[in-house]
Amino acid sequence: MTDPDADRPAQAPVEHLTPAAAVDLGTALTQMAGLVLSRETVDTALQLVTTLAATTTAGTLGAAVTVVDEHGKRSRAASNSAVEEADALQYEYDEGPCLAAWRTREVVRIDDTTTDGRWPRWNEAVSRLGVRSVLSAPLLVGDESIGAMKVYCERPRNYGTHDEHVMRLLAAQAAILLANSQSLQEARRLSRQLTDALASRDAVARATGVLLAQGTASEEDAFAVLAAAARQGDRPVLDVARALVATVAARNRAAGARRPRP
Amino acid sequence: MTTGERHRRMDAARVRAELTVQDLWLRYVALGGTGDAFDLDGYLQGLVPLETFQQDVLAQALNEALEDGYRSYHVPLSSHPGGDTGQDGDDPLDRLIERLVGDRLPAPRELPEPPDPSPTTQ
Repeated sequence: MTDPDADRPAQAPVEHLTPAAAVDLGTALTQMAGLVLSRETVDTALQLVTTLAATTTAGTLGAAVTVVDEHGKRSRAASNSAVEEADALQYEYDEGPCLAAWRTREVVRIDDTTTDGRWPRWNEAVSRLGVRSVLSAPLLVGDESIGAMKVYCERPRNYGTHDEHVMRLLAAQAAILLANSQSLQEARRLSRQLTDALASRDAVARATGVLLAQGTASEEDAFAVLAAAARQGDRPVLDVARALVATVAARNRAAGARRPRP
Repeated sequence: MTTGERHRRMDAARVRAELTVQDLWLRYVALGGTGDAFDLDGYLQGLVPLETFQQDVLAQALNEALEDGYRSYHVPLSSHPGGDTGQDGDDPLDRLIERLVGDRLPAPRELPEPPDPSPTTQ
C-alpha cells in the first residue's frame, strides 16, 4: 500500500452499494413459503407430543417420539431414561416396535415383552429394563412416514384397542405439528444461508465492478482474475473480493485526503 | 478435458465435498453464478449444458468447498501457539491484493486530477 495510514482491508466500506441479484431465487423462496414468526422448534414440538402421548394413555410409564428426516437423521424426545434406553436399543439392534411402526405405517402393540416373539433380542433387553407392554404408532404426513411415537408400561397387557385408537388419533395430529416444525427449522436455516450467499455475491460483484472500471475486458475475465488471485493466495474468492474493494476504497480515501474536493 | 468429462468430475467433487445440489447452488450463487438449482442439477447429471463461464464459477465453488473440508481436518502444530491469526497471517493476501491493485489500478496520484485545482476557487 502506498499510504501507510490506509486502513487494513478489514471490511468493504461501500456496503450501501447493493446490486440487485439477477439470480432466480424461485426455488429458495418457495422453500421459505412456510416461514412464520414462531418460536416453536422441533425440540419443543417433540417434547409436547411426548407429554401428550404419556398423559392420554392410562398406565403409561414413559413415552418417546422419534422423527426421521429426509437425510435419515433421527431426533427424539423421551420422557424418562428407561424409555430413552429402550429406544436406543431399537436402533442398536435395528429392530423393535417403533421401527416396525415407522416402516409398515401400522400401529404396533406388544402385550408382553417376555412372551412376544417378533423382536426377540429387543424384547428380552427391554423386559430387563422393566418394560412389559408397548404401543407404537407411525407418524404419517400424506404418504410419508416421518417417524413413530410410542408409550411403554411396566405392566403386561396394559394397552388395548381403545389405546390403539387414541394413539392413532394423536399420531395424526402430532405428525402435522412435527412436519411443520421441521419445515420451519429448515426454512430458517435456508434463510440464513441465503442471506450469507447474497452478501458474498454482493462483494464479488463489487470487486468485479472495480476490475471492470480499471480496464478488465469482461465480467468473465474479472472473475478469472479474482479466482486466480484466490488460488495464489490459497483463500476463497470472497476474501480476495472483499480485500480488493477495501484496498481500493482506502486508496481512494487517501487520495481524497491529499486532494480536497473544491 | 471434454465437456462430458467435466460435469462428471464436478459431480464427483460435489459428492466428495459432501454437498447436496442445494448446498452447492448456494455456494455458486454466492460467487455470482446465475443459474438456478435445476440448471445445476441438470448439468451435473449430464442432461443439460451449462455456459462455460457458469461452469467456471461452479468449479470455483466446488474447489472452495473441497478446500474447506480439507481445512477442517487441519491439525495445528504445537510450536505455533494460540492459533495465530495475527499480522503475519494476513500478509500473503495483502501482498496479493497489492500486486493486483498495483498492476491494474493507477496509483492515486495518477488519477485524473480535476482541471486546475486552484486554491482560490470559492
